[in-house]
Amino acid sequence: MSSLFVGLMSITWQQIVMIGIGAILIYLAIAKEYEPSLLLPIGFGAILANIPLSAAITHGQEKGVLNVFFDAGILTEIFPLLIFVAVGAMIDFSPLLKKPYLLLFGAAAQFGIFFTMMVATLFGFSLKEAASIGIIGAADGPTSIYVATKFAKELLGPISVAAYSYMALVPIIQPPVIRALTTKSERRIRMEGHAKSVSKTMLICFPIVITIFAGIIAPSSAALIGFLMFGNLIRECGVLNKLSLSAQNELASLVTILLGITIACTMTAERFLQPQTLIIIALGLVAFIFDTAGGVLFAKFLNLFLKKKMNPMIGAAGISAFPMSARVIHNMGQAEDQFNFLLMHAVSANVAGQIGSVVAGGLILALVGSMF
Amino acid sequence: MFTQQVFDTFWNALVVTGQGMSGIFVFMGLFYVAIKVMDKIFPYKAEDEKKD
Repeated sequence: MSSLFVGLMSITWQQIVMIGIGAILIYLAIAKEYEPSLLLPIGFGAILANIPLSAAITHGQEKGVLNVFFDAGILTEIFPLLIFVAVGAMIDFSPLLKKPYLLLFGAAAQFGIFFTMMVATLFGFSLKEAASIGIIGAADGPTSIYVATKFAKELLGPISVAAYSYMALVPIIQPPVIRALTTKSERRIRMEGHAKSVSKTMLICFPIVITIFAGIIAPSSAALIGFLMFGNLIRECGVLNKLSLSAQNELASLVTILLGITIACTMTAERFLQPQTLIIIALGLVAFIFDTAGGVLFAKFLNLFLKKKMNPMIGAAGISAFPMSARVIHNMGQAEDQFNFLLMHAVSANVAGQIGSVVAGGLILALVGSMF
Repeated sequence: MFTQQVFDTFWNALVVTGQGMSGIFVFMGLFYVAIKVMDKIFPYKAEDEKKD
């Protein structure tokens, strides 16, 4: 009879706290709709991983299914790369191809990644751990997971939770930072709306050319960019509509479910309930704030040399959180001037941010990897 | 708190930051050039839209 209560008898307060954290993540996913497709599986997985003696995770020689998925899908990088195929199939690069100069904002708005990496080293994290924490600022879950898997898999749980939580909180994080760095008159600057169209051939060539360029310059980024661009090629080629729809829907859904619940196997009480988890979550916020600041300040810097000034808020859309960031910028522009339509420019910068975050991930892998 | 090891790691992070931010701008600059070249080679024609 006592064997029926063995689980109850062996539960620890740390496990109860983790089950509570899992429940909070599920609440945020359902009630607040904060990245529900990821936070709900992560929350449920956290509960599953913290049930005393749970068969879902590995105990000694007995393999748990979550760890089997983790070893097969995350340590091998298969899940994040498959997500990249799905994301690539979802992205329409044409707004960016119409206004390619906005690529610069996709670069500037990655500043938070590197700034946060430097700050993290001051908290005693190793360079690899600091790089994995900084990459939360990529505002791109799969890139964060990919880099953390390579450099600091023991931190994968808090890094994933922070990355997806802050992506959902972009509408709350960005506006105060933008307001602090811009004047009312700058936020009212209107931007030229007209842009020429791009040819179908160019849309097809773009993912191929970018993959070759990026792969040759930084081979360590080849998998990240290659899978993203492969997904995009499926979308744009025009002869694989069925595959494109499958990548956007079935593949994305299946891998998202597995990715979320699998990451949770790193959220066991003894690994997650550490002071460093709170530091990582705080540093994730720093990364998002400095991404936004980097983009806005770079736009202001460019305005020093431009005759026709651009709205510096567009710089903040250079982060990868698509399309939330573009919507935030457009809404802020409309709040200042109801006839100010920034959406097209913001979307272009936002798409540039999606490329920028992946490039940043590849560069981090190459640069930090070369130091060891 | 700021031991020599922390300082060394911070210094390495500073180097990665310099190289990383420069690298991203170089990449984006190359992508910009690639887009401009492709736009010259494959310009948009209104007939393309009609075919689609």
